[in-house]
Amino acid sequence: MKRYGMHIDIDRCNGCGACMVACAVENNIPPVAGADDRKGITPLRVYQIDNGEAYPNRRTAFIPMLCQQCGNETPCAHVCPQQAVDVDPETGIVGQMAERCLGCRYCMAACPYHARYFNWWDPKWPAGMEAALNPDVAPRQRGVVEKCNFCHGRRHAAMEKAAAAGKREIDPADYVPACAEACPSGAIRFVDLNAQAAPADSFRLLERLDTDPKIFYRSKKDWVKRNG
Amino acid sequence: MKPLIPFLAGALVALGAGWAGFPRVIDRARPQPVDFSHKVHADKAGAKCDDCHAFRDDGTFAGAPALDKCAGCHAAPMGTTAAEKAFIDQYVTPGREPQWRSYARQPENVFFSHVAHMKLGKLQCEKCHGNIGTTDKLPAHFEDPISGYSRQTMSMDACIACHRENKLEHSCMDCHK
Amino acid sequence: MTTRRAAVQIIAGAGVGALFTPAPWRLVRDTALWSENWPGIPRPKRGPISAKTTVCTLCPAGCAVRARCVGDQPVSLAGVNGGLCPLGVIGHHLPYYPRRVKQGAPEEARAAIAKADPTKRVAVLDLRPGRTASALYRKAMKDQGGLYLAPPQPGASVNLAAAKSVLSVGAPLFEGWLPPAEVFAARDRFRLVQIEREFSRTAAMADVWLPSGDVAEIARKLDGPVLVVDRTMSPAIVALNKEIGGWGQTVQAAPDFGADDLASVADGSIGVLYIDESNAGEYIPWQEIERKLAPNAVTVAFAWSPDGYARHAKFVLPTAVFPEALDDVDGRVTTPLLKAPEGVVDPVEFIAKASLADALKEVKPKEDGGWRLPYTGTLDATASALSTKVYQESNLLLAPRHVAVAPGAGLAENDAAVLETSRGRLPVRVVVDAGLPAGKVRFLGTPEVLDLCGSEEPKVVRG
Repeated sequence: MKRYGMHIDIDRCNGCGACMVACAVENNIPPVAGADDRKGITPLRVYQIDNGEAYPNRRTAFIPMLCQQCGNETPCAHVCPQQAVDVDPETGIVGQMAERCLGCRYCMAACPYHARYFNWWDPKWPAGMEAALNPDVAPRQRGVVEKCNFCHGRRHAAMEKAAAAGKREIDPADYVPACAEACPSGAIRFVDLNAQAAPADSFRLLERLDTDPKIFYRSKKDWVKRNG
Repeated sequence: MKPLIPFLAGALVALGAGWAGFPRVIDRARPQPVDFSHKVHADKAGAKCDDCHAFRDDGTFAGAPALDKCAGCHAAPMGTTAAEKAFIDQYVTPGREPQWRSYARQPENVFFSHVAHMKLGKLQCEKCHGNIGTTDKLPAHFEDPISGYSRQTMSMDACIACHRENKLEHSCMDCHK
Repeated sequence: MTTRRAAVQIIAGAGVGALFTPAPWRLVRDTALWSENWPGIPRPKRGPISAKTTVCTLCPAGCAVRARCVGDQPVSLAGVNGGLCPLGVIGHHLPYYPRRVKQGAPEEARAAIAKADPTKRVAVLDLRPGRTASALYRKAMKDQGGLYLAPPQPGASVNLAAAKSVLSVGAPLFEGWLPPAEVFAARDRFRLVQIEREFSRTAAMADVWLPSGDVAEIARKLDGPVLVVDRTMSPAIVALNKEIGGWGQTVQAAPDFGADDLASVADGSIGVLYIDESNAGEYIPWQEIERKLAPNAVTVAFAWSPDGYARHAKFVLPTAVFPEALDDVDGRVTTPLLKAPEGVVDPVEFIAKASLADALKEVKPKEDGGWRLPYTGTLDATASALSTKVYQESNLLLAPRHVAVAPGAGLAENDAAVLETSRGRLPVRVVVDAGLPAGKVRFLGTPEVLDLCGSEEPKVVRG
């Protein structure tokens, strides 16, 4: 039994955004020319936080925010009227089934991390770019809610590769989500939390809500830890 | 009793139309582009299922064979049937891919791994696809004009029944994209 | 009365009877299935999946790329030696850039060149010198007595892996100045002191940030081997490196690309100018080039983007773009992953009448020993459609035609403003960044902005 999660080192994130675009490539997310930062679809989104002071005492840091894969009474799974959110007992991954979703957005209200995004847009790409879509993930219609599924398409490919070799266990090297693969600084690490516990000084976001998220953040800077 | 007769008459007509007439209308029989005989290829060419419906090295399933596979042997006529001649004239010579109608294609959001079912599940092709290998003509393809799927497409209930029996139900995400 | 009642009864009977047939249930199910497969939703192509490796040519770093291909089509890119930058990750979308230059008039260009003033000189401006194509241009110009021009290059190459301390005077070390994955792989081996007025992303990740400081004094006190850098490796910085003993260890001479010095070219002396813009590099503001052109000079720009010199050139000929192009970086040759569309012109064929493919066959990868020439150009990802994620659907990166100003500049978030210099004005949108010192303005150095500014500091005024 696995418990997939992430160790994210905030001190290593320089806010380049390679993870965000890699996520969009992997999940066949259309570019939305008409979107602003409130209507975009960014299952992984890097936020810039600061210590609230003015120059020259201002300090900034970048926090990659994605679905925290809550383990305890997963809020979005609880409220979905369609049972479109499914918590996998074998991996701990909270899966969003866009095909069952009817777009009521109750889950978006329930998610304390604002990690869910409503798909306002028809899946349209510039002419010819549909040829470059990823066959491992199905494009969704507008009107459903989307979020990070820890790159289920890559997990499927890893499972199929293991099955071809007659094995039921996947090789960890075969299953790396797009964001972790793309990050040039290695800030995002995808791990099986049962195999690799988080470093002692890690913190999780909104711990007081007791959602048992699986994304562990680390930073040596006190003001970042206080913000978290 | 008399007031009921029109009611019953209407009901009977509807029942008749629904049970006898509707199935004929809703599923349209569509011909396959080539009159292919599995039996001939199994007997004369000694082919087994995975000679043409092959697995690639990474475990993915290649599906119905592309023109290359057929043209590999049928560059020139190998028999005397009119069907083969039509195939060579219409497809091999001009290099056109036959647009086969799929019996089993699942929706886009389904992830089905052939290799997992055959290698780990130890299933035979015939269990889900029937005994196609011994037929002389391809099965009739009935297409539903509204949904676009063939009549033979497996529904999710069928998948669940077998998975439940084998205690392999974990998460929606295992099979959905 | 009876017949109407009978009619109603028949209909009611039919309705109830129909419910006991498969028809209505099947129709409901079919409608649901039909709605899943709306024609507007694209279906990803299926096919055999393979991995092909090539070299990314979007900046001089030339990161090794592994492309996951479905059939012949690359569908995602990953770095072979670590992650790619955001531009590299979506590089495979560049061929589908809606504003891509598609049509050119090569025959008309050739005719105009044939009629050009023979007393004026021919010149090639190669935005990415150092390639095999560059060597072919140089040879062609030498044979014709022409000029081979290139943008200003950094004053030295650096070896980050050899440094224990790095003193950066405003160099964007963690923002694409050197190959990103290499810089971060070496991160734990050096201590970075960043001297920069603005608290930039590099400053945020540095070990020490100083808004200002005595560079020489600080450099001398750092643990060696020390590497001192600034954005362009200016002569003063190179001299300082020599003084503290880094020469040959952390700093060495930049490769000589054999370019003629644009400043020393006589004004109005160039009659035919070829600009190879197929690979971006540091952009020379147009006015500096224009003054060297003769009055009726024929300018031919080889570009895939309409936003660079294509705005000024008389003839614009479309080129292949990564990942279609055959090219090389430091002796590593690309593997084209896609075929370039019809109408594309090969600049090497056109300018040097030589075959790049043949020349590349002789090329061998070089042992670089960790030396890298920094990149001083601008990295602008907007030609890839998905860059909306970072420029628009989030406020992570500053978008083109946006400027960041410090608070107290009299401008509010999202105001319409104007970027102003003595040369003209450009409408922009305002972003307020409290991390900027008063009076400092930050913007993306796209060609239109660089043309506007030249060497002048622009002002931002309410628009």
